[in-house]
Amino acid sequence: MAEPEADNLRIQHTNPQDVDLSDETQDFRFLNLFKKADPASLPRRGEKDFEPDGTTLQDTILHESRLAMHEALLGERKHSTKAHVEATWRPAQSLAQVKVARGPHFKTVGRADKHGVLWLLPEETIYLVERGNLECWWEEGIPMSLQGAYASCLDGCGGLERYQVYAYLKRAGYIVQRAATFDEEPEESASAAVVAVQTVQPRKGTSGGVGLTSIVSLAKTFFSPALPAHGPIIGPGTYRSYDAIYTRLSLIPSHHPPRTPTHPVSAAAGRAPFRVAYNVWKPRPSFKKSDPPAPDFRVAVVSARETSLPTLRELAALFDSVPVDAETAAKAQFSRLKDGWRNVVLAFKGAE
Amino acid sequence: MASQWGVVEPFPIYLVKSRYFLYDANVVSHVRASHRMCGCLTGTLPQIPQQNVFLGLPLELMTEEAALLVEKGAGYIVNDIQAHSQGLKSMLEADKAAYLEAREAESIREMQALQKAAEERRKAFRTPKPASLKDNDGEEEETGEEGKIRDGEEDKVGATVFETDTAKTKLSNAVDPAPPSTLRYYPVPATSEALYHALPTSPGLLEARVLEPAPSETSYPLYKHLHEHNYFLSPGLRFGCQFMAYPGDPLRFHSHFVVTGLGWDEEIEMRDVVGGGRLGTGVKKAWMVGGENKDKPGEVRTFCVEWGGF
Repeated sequence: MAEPEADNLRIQHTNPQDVDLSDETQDFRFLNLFKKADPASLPRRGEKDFEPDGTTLQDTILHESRLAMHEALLGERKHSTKAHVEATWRPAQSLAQVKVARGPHFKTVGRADKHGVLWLLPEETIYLVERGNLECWWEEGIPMSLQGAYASCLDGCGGLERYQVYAYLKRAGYIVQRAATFDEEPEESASAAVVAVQTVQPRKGTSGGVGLTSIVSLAKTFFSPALPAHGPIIGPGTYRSYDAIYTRLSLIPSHHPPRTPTHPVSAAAGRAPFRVAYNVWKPRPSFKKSDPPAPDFRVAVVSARETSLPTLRELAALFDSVPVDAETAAKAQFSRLKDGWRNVVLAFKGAE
Repeated sequence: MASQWGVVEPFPIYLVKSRYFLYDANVVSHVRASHRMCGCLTGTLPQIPQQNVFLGLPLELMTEEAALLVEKGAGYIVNDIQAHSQGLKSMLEADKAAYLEAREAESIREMQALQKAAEERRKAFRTPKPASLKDNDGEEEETGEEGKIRDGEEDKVGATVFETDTAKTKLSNAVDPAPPSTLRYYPVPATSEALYHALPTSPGLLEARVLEPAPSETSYPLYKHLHEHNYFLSPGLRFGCQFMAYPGDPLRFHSHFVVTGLGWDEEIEMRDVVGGGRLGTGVKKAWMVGGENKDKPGEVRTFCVEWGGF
C-alpha cells in the first residue's frame, strides 16, 4: 500500500523556520560562530553521524566538541565596576535587597517598596547571578556562588520548572513578570470547586439549553412538543425553527466563553500547576514595570513528568482566571481561531 | 581515582528541591566521558546569555542518572540547602576576612593583568613607526585606531590630531590605566567554596542513603539496561517518550530510539503501539518499549516498533 506523499513523514521537507535549534544537543565547537554572527550560521540538522564507526577522525571530532563544551562551561560570570550591582539575600522575605541598581535589566526586573528600596524576586536573583550581572551576598557577609544562589533562592521560585521557564523566556528576550495568581492561596479548595464550573453549563431540563436567553427563542421552545422521557429525542410534532431541534440535540454540557471582560483575578484561579504563573510581554522600549500594559501571553508552568492532562474542571478554572479579550471579535478569522476569547500558554520543561 | 579532568570519585551530587545538580565543569565533563551521562545543561551561558541554543551550568541530572551514579559508587547525594546553611553557620570571622581579602586581591590582580595585556596590544600597534608616519595623515590614522581600541574612551584625542607633538604626549598620558582601586571585575564562581559550604564528612555519607534518588520502577531497569549497552540516554519529552537513546555522545551522534519503559505484564493499547511506531518512524528513529522481568530481576527485554506499510 503506497502512502500518499504528503502523508509520509519521511519524505516531508522541513521548513527551515520550523527548525528549533535548541531541540537537540548542539555541537559546542560552533559556539564561537554563534557568538560572532547570527544564529543562521549554525550548521543545520543532519551534520551529526549515525553511529560510532571506530575511526580516529570521529573520535577526534568528538573530543574537540567535548573540549569546546568544557571551555564554554568554564566561561566566567563577571562584570566590571561600571556595571556593578550588589544585592543582599534576605531569606526571611525570600527576596534580594539591591544596593544600587544599574544597567538595562532593572527596566523590567525588581520592584521598589515604599521606602525606595529595590527588591529582586528569587528567580530574578538567580537569573542575574547566572548571567554574571549581579553579585549577591548572604546576610553572613559572603558573596554567593552560582551554586549558593540555587541552594538559597530556588525554593522561593515555586519549583525548578518555573525558574527554568522564566529563564528561558528571559534569554529569548521577553519581559517576564509574576502573575497575580503565582502563589497559591491556601484556603481555596471549597470555593474553587464552585466557581470552576461557571463557564461549563450543563443542559437544563426542556427549556434550558444553549443560548436560550432571549425571549423569542424561549417562546419557540415553549411551543414545540415537550421532551419525552423515552423514545427519540426529536419526537413527532411541530417544530417552527432549527433552533428548537438543535437545542434538543445538545445533550452534553458544553463550553460557553463569556463575551464580556471579567475581573479574573478575584475569581479562583485553579490549583497548581494549572495556574497562570507569569505574564509575558514581547520586548518593547516603552515598558514600565510599575505600570505594565496587558500582557501578550500568560504562561502556566507544568511538569511533564508529574502531571497528566488537565481535567475539564482544571482547564475551566484556569481560563476563568484570564480576562476575556474584547478585541477578538474584530480580528481576522485565523487569529480569532488561534487566540480565542481567552488564551493561556502551557509551558512544559523540555529537559526532564 | 582522579580522572582526566581531575575529578575524584565519589563526587558530590547536589540535591535542591528534589532535583540533582552538578556545578563543576570538570565533573560535568568527567561524567560525560567516563559514565556516558549527559544530564541537561539548564543555566544561562554567561558568554552569550541572550539565546537558548547553547546553555551552561548548572547541569541537571535525571533521577535515573543520579540513582545510577550513586549505585555505582561514583557519586553521593548532598542536600545542598543544608550544606550551605550549615557552612554559613560554622564559618569563622577570621576565615571570612581572609577569604574576602584574597578575593579582592585576585580580582584586582586580574584587572591589572587585563590592563597590561591591553597595553601590550597597544604598544605592539605603535612600535613599528616609520618616519613617514610623522606627517599629519599618518598620525590621524593612528589616533583613529587608538580610539577604537580604547572603546572611544578618549574622544578628545581626535580633536588634537593636527598638533602632532602635543597629540602624542596626550596619547601617552591617556594610556595610563585607571587606578586599580576604582576599576575591577566582580566574578561569580560556579561552585561554592568550602568556607561556607559544609560537605558531609564520612558519617554524613550514611545519612545520604536517605537521600538516595528513587527513580520510577518501570523506567529505571530499562534505563540501566540501555546504559550498560553503551547507549547515552537523555530525557525524551520533546519526542513524547521517556528517553532518547543515542549510540554515542549526543554531541556527535543522532539518536536511534525513542524509549518508553513499561511494566512486565502491562497491557499496551493498540493505539499506543501505532502512535509510538508512527512517531518514531516519523522522526527517523525506532520506538522502543521494554521492561524488567519481575520474576528474574535484571532480565530486561526490549522491542522496537516501526511503521512499515507494504
